[in-house]
Amino acid sequence: MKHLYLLLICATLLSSCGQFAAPTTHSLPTHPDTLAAMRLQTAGYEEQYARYDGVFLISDQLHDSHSAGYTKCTKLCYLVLKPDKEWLTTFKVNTDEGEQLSDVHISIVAPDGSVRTFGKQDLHSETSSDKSTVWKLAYPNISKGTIIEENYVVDHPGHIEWSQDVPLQMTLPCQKKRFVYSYPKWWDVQVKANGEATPAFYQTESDREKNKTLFVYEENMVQPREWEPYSPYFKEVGKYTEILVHSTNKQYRSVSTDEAWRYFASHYRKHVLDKESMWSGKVRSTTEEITKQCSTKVQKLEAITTYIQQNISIGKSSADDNFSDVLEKKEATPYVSTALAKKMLEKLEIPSDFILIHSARDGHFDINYVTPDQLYIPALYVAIDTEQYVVFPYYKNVPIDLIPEPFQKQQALRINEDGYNGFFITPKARDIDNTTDEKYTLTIDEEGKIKVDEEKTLRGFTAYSVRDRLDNMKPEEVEKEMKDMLTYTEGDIKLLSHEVINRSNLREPLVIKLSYEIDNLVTVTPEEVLFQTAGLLSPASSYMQKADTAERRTPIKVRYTEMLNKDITINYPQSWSLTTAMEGRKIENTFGSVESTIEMASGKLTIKQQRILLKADESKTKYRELLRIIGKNSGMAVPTLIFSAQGS
Amino acid sequence: MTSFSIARLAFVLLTVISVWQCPLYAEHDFEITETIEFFITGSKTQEYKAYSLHNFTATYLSQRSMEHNVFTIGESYYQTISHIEAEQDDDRLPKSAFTYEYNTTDAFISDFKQHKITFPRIVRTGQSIAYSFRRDYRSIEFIPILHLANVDYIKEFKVVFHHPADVTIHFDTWFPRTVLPYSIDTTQPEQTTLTFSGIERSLPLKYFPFNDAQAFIRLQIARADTELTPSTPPVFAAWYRNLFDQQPALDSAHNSLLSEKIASAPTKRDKVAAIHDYVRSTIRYVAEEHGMNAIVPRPPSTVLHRGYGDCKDRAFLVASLARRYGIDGVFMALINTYPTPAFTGTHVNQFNHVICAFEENGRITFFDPTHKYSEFGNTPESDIDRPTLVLNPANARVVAVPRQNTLPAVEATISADINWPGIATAVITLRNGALASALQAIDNKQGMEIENSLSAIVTPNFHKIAFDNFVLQSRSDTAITLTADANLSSFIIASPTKKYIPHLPFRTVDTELIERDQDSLDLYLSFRDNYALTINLEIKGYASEPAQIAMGDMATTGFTASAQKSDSGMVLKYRYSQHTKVFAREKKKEFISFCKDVLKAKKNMFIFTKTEP
Repeated sequence: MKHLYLLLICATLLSSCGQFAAPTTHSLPTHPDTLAAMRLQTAGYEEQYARYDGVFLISDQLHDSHSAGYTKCTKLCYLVLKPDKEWLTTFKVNTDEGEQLSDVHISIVAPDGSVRTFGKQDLHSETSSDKSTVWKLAYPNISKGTIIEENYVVDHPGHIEWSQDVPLQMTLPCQKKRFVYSYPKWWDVQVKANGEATPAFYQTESDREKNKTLFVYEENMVQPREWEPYSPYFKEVGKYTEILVHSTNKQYRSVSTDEAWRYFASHYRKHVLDKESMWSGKVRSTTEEITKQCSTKVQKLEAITTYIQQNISIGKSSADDNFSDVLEKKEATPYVSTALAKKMLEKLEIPSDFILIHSARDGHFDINYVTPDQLYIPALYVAIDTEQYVVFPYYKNVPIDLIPEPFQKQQALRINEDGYNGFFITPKARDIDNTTDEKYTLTIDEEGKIKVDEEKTLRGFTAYSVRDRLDNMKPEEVEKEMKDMLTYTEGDIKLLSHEVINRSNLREPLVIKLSYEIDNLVTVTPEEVLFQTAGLLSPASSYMQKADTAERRTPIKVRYTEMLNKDITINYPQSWSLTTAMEGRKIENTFGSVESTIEMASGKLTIKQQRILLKADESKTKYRELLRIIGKNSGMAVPTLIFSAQGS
Repeated sequence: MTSFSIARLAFVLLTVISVWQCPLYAEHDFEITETIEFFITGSKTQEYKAYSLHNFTATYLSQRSMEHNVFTIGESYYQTISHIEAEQDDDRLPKSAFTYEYNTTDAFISDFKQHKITFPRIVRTGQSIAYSFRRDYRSIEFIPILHLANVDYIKEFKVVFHHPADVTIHFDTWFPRTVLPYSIDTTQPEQTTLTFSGIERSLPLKYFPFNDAQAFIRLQIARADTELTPSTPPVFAAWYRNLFDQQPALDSAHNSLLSEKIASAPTKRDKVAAIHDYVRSTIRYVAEEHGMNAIVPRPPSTVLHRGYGDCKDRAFLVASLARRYGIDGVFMALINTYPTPAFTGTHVNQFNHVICAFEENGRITFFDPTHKYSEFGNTPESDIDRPTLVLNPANARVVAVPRQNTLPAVEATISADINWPGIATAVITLRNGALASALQAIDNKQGMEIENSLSAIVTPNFHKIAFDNFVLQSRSDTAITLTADANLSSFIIASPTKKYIPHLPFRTVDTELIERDQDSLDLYLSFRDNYALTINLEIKGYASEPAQIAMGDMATTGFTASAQKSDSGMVLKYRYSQHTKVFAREKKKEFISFCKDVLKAKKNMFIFTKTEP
């Protein structure tokens, strides 16, 4: 579906202009002597890059579109630092149906300077039923300090690659990175703008002899792409490029951006929305059946969404299938399921828009870059009274008022019965959706046995995750799941009862009630009683890693504000008195706060804890501050409570 | 790191039906019928050949079952698949419903192919699907162990053998739970039939590796006194050894490879250790399971020339290098790193890994050259307790790999002051699996990543004791020693007049394990906890009495703790040792009882009373 529009628009604009563009020349394999000499440059790399499996010395890629198809040439030269890493010491290249692998030239320079070479004849190939092939070779005798250079070419004759998404940062540091995209100079090609970031391509060259235009990206000492906790998505901070071929003939590109989006929308209107059978009343009858108990528009929206989520599985849709067929076959693409929901709402005279949402994972949204690669998340936009709903009818167990995080505050294209209906920004989540409440009532008897009543109120994505886990479970499996959710993990525990409230009422918080006994956490001596709290009085998360700010490599991104409230009441025999010094505390910084308040009365201790983690974009140097909020070192954990046994 | 992929045949059979391992429902979701017909041809003078025809039908009985519409069939070099057909409600599926791809999850190169049949979405109860295929065996020895899946409801599972009249079929059954009724029909001289009917699904259990199976059937095929399937250790060993050259010569480039090291090693045992060290540290692990190399090793010269190999390549290289240097008694040993059905005989499906055995003076030493950080005379945890077939041509036999290094995997000695529990120091020694994990981190990570890895290896074993700032002090093949800061401020509980120190400093028993006292089946753990802790405690201003606690039996699984007076205060010593991973019948009862005692002991304390105001 992503490429449907593109193919359509390009097919319309495609025209042969009778000119010829020769393939662009790519760099040749490095001479073995030069490779051997590179060993000298790499002295010291073992220490400098010790944390990596190796270092890319050269990464040179050419993606060349020409009159005969496209050609992708790769030269990858790297130093092996960890020879046990299979991914680095083997060759593995995939080719899709129609693609041809050629010009394979692999050189391996051992630390002693000896050179071995391999070609295509040395590769093992595995071809699957979809005609894709994996080409493989395990390199012999690789040791630390070996330099490997892989050169190969993948051709696809007669095929145009309309869009490309190329990461420019790799998994290892790269000393010298070069990426060239070349295309016939009469083509109309666009590079996606990356917000305020510097354009990836700083050179555009023209190869007059071959009738080509070149986009060139060159950079030295490119850092690897890294993932760390609370880091932005790669495309929010990383280096990548997306390239789109609008037309193979510049003079035919006459549409404005606005017109292109209108054309884009009209495609969806025609091929996705307009699928009602002229002869069948199944959509209407099904709609009436599933909403007959509903009195409000919101109830009807919820009933329709839930019905499709529960009954239409994600799969293929035939282009010929209408909505009645979909209801019969119970299978459709997310696009068609969403369109079906829109059609059902239409039967109830509830207006809605089919929308396509940009995902935060895809980085910056460039309004001038008209392609499904930017907008491929379907949903339904419905305004009822003053509320706006963005619903996902194919996303099982997601309630109508929950928007998954990557799709919040994002650009979305609205499409209605007339086609294009403009862009809008999706709403952000309600704060309440990111709040979890936990309530504990503990009653400790004279012998030290503890009865715990635990109630967790889960909302938003947390509730969705638990509901999804519980989906289709039979009672004994739910019980097992409940045991896994017990707060205490170190106890001798007997689960007395459990209850899940609002399991299928998706719009209400999911409430889990557990009642259990623990018999190994309280030590009763003649003078004193010790209660090992086993994590109960720890307000923060379970994030246990130590962090060195100097080693943090990515900036900090907390994507949304979240809150955890713990309300703990401990009832204990009147003859005991608490001797552990307890006092309320509060830590507050850029990232939020952790606070505890204490109330003590005879035979009763009440503790309220709250952790608020605020949405934030901060520099990596503040990671320690973040850990003060999310880590275990808030200082509020009380591992043991001590009571004096006055009655003894 | 397993590459002896004949066990994938078993996996294939599991996966054929395992798509049905969907959530369990109170009502039946499916009704399944499966028939496998084997056709054996051949005679005393003509090689025996075999193929099988498989027919599988499933009727959908519940709404919830309907999303399960994809089925897989595995194919390997020695079990090729053809004639896959399928239908849904009597409509044949189009060609596009059948796909396949190579599955190289475990091996870099493999012939293992996964066929996939995608049925149209099931839309109503009562619908049924059916598929069939043919499996050709490279030779009769490759006929697999059959597996009666633990799925919703099996209406009938039938195995029919068509065979020459002088061939006999013996169905050796093994039931992981209860013995199921079945019938065998031998009334026809050239046909033998095994039938199971009306099999209900059993509930899955924790710490039980056979939740996917109701029964395993080992097929023993014989003619008179001749085993056509290698069903006993000597016959299996002879068959397997016959598949490849047992005495390959090393090429000239490698003929003197280890001469110096071997010459300088004083004993035969040291020489074998030198070979093991060379192979484990020099040969990269890359598995190329192409053709027969899925189950037989490559010649040692090839492996040395390439500098890489899989488990069997490495084990055979060790045995070949030993032979080259005149060291006898080093053999390949076939093993499965997962629990397998407890058949008394052997079968080609039984193994997924190859290690080495060194026999000297009636003593057998196992070692695993695939694992870079497993020293000679030791094996990784995954090998321990597992039955292994030692390919000693004079005495091929199955023995369980013992626990060879019995020292604690994690051993800590902490020096602390009872008045300043937050600033203690520790010396930590890591062995066995903990050693391997630590070396892996030290050799491959940097800075804080090493610190976090070491913390993740050490700290989770201890209850309320935190370790920090690890510094490597010494490193050998068998152990590393680290120093670290230790924080006992949560561990030592302070009241105005006393200090309390828990009897149990280790996190050991999983509370879910206790639930297994409700059934009579064996308990299978994947680990053996083995820890030691000594706390040298200065107790200025406090006094305590010596004490001794013991639970279980240290000869099997036990825990001891003691508090003894020393010159500077008290010495607390703790030891937890679990010798085995599989607990059957009475041993299981004893073990669970021990675990309950350990959990209860969490609240027990050594008490230190203030002596000074």
